[in-house]
Amino acid sequence: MQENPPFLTDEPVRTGPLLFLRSIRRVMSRTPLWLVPAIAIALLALPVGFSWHKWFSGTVAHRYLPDAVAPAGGEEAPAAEAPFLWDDQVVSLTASFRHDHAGGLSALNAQTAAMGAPLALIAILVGILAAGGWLQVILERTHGRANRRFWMGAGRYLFRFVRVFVLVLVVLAGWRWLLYGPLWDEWVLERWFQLPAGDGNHLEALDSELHARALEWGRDGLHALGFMIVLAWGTYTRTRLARFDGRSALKAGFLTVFTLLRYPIKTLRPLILLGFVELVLVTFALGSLSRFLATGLPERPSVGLVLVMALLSFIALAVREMLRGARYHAAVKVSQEITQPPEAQPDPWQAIGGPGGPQYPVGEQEETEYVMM
Amino acid sequence: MRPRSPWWPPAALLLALPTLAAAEDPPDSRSCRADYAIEARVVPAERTLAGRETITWTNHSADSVGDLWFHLYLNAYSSNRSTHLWESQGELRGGPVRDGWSWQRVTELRQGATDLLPTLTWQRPDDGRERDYTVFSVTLPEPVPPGASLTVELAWESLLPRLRRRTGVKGDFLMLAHWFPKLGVYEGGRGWNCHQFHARTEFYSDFGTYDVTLVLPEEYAGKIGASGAPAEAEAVADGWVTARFAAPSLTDREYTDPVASVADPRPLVHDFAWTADPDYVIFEERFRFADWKERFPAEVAQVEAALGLGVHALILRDVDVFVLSQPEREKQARRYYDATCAALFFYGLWFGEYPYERITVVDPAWGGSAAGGMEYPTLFTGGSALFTDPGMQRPEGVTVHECGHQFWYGLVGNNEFEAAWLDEGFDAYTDSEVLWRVYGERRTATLYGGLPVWGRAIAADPTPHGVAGTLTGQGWNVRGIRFDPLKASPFLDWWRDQPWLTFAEERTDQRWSDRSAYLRAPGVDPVLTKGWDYADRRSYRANSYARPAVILRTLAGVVGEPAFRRGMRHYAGAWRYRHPYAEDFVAAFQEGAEQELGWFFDQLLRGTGTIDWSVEVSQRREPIVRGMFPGPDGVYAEIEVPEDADVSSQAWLYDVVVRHQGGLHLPLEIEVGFEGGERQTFTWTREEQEQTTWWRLPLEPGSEEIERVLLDPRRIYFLDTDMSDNQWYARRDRVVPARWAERAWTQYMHLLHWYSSLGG
Repeated sequence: MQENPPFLTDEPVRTGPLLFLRSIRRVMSRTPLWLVPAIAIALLALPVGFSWHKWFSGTVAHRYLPDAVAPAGGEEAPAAEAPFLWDDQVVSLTASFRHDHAGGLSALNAQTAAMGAPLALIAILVGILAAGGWLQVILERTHGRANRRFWMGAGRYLFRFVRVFVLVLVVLAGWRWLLYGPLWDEWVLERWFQLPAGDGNHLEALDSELHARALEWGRDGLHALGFMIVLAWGTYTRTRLARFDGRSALKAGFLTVFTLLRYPIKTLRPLILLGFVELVLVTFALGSLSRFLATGLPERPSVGLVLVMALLSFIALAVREMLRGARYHAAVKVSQEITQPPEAQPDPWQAIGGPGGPQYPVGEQEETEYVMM
Repeated sequence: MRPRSPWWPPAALLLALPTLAAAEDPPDSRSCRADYAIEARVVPAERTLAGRETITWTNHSADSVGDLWFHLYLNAYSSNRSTHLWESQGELRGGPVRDGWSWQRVTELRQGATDLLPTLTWQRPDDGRERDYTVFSVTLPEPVPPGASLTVELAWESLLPRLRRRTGVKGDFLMLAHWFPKLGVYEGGRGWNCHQFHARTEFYSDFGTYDVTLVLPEEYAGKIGASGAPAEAEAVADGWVTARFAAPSLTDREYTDPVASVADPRPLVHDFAWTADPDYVIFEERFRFADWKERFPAEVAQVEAALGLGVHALILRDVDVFVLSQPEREKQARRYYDATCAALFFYGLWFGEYPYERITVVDPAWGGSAAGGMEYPTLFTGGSALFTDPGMQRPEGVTVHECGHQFWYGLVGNNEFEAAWLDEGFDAYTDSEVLWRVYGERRTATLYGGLPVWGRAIAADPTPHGVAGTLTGQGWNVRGIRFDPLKASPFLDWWRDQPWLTFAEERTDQRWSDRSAYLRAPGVDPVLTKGWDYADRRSYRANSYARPAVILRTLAGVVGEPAFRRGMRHYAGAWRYRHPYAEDFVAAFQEGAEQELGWFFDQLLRGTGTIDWSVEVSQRREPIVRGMFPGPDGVYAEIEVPEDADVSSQAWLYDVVVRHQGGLHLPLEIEVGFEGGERQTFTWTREEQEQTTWWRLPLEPGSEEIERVLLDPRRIYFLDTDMSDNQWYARRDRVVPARWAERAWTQYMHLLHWYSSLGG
């Protein structure tokens, strides 16, 4: 085994608590593999940005004071005169701006929503392709030409992973229905908490808002937890399909359930930690920076600042794409450690004798040893 | 009940009259007096209330009155056939009313030894709805002559409602408003003004005093708040607590109101509400005028100057502020207090001091939101949430508004059935002014599970409709069962939205919000419409709240700030402890402002006309003379001009056209600014606008380019239905389009990443 290989391999590694860091390190070095999907997503979103720019350019045009800045309010304001500033209307999309352009904004949003659905569909496809690509690159023994292998994997697993996506949606639909459908109202609110029928939406029969919130958060938290587990299940199902070259998404999904149940910590830990990294890096670090810049924009409007904010958003997206790769790397490594190919699976070399007849012995023992390395 | 008398007299006449400040007792003949002494026992667990009251009514009209009309407001919630629930289509608080009914029954009513109950007649003066039992009348054995008083004794029983519209019970939280049989208002020459309780109307009653004794289970001891102030210490005995309140307080009854112009300017109130909750945490602190004057010295100086008072001549009474807070929102008590002080200071500054020693703020219990956001004399209810930030102005917004009602409705007691705009509109105008001055702009927050995050997603989410919506899992309908696999929950929404990365900040100046609220239903009804006669709830809200607010703000611009202050102050003083109508306001305002404004009020209060000005600008250099011209001999010859002739010395030709649409006509100022800094100002008069819908400004060719054209440069009009075309700038803004496009792009980048993560 090479020391610190500059590429991804399917060679097993130890899956300790720090696996997520190793996965990030391995994936980070393959810049094109995460940068290309990030660029693809960014390009997908571009039509929305363009249509908004076009609309605002036409609407603002000569009608608002250029480079207006936000007004002072509160005790900062020159209170006695209290000027009714108009020119700041576009600085923060005030009620007046939204009213005066209600028709245009409504049409723009309708256009965005209509455009958004097919874009979302394409984005899902990008996700499916990226998953296949990552798994191909991570699992294949061959070194080099990772980009080509990435796209080959993307195509190779496309239809299987589409089926996994459908499975994920079905499970999510069921999960949501369980928590937000009539069963929750009847069994949890009415029978368990003894709340009067029909009061479920407001939870007003409870004695405090905190209790109501706690109950809502409990449900929302359950939903979020289940949602994340379903996504993790999808990740391991894809990994299983790719590792064993399975055809049935349903069977792989079914078997993955048992894997997750048998090794909940080992399987979910790296994904949770990677989620935590995403939370810290993207949501908190980059998010805070973006928020800081956005807060200063009304007082210092400049195209440069806007571009910096755009760049920051793209960096955040790229980080998220990189972490997607890390998730698959971690899933593969965990999967390699805890699952073995089914024994019934015939050894192709044994069956056909290898090209030109048997060239070297391939035994059960050797395969097991490899997996358990 | 007859329609209101027509229009107001011209200001010229009014100006010739002696000022109302010198008037004797109410000359309007409709401001009688009603004093109540009430005893009530409440059993919250059974939702029952039984009470007795003694009413002393003094006839200030010139009529002899032979009957009495009463409200029984709680019967509005007795069935879905009441006028109130019929008008609200059987719904309150957004949901159908199926239980928690209430009723109110008079068991005894006598004048001295005369039993009046046999003469009880249900009255339905507004709609004749047979199953509405919110108004009744009784016939008196002898008419009450002008100036005389009458005393009646009355006993009643009630089943209290599950908290409905501002009154009722929720658990052990009690909010009791419009809870006792109450007299209507006798208006001289017009008879009793005693309307049924409508879904969109509030209250109207005579000023007087209230002495109220409440008996409640002892768990409520020390946790009862009410209009006025305690008249004596609570007494606990046999498992019951007895609390006695006086409104106005006994001290207030000896106080001389420096603002009121009535002959006996001692504070009075026209309603009594109370609340009790064993969980209340009581916060008490004093509003001190001196502290606020120190914070806003320029405001005080401006009002002093406008009213012609000497420096430091304006002083407001200090007031004890009691906040009855819920334990889980105890930390917000100070915010309630601050907002209350803000209202007491600014409203007092502009419309005369709050003349009572105490004010009580109620923070309704969870599940008691129906009690929130309502005003009663010296007591009002707010409304908040567990997680809120001052930037959201919650509870500050509702607190300033409801506290402001102490002035508009509380002290100037207009008829809220027929002219709600006289309090709601005036209050909406003033609360926006106060909020902007004290708190600045309101920030929009998106709530995730009740937790606020600043800003909002700027662009709409992908549509759930169509093939793409179905394929992306945004909503499936399977045999009538709705499945929403990707409809997230608050925590997931937060993760999906990545608000810190993608949200757009949104701030709103409340004063401009009044305008957009008005324009939600412009031109539907006149402001002068009875509460239940508006086309719909939207029109009611627009015409009772936002439109009057916009009208007043515009009025301030038209007459100028000092005159506006004088006019409003004069009206507030002249009609304190009395019942004004629109014509009274108009007359008093004109008198105070010393301006004739019939043209303004006539259009804006009686009409439904709207206005939309716009300006179009084009400018170019005067072209160099080219072509063929006849010479002295009459023969045409072409003038030789080089192709690249310098045009920079040519004069600028301007074409500025101002347009007017809509039935409202107001004088318009127009300012044209040139590159060099020169300004030209034009006025397009009301009369000219009535003649033509457009006007080309008479601009002479000049040497400088137009830099800007502003319609209404002083920004005094808030009525324009589209203000985006009221100005023109030669230079375009490059940042704004980039800025919002970036937000939309960023939002979608991360939204699409979310979708892609579902794919793999």
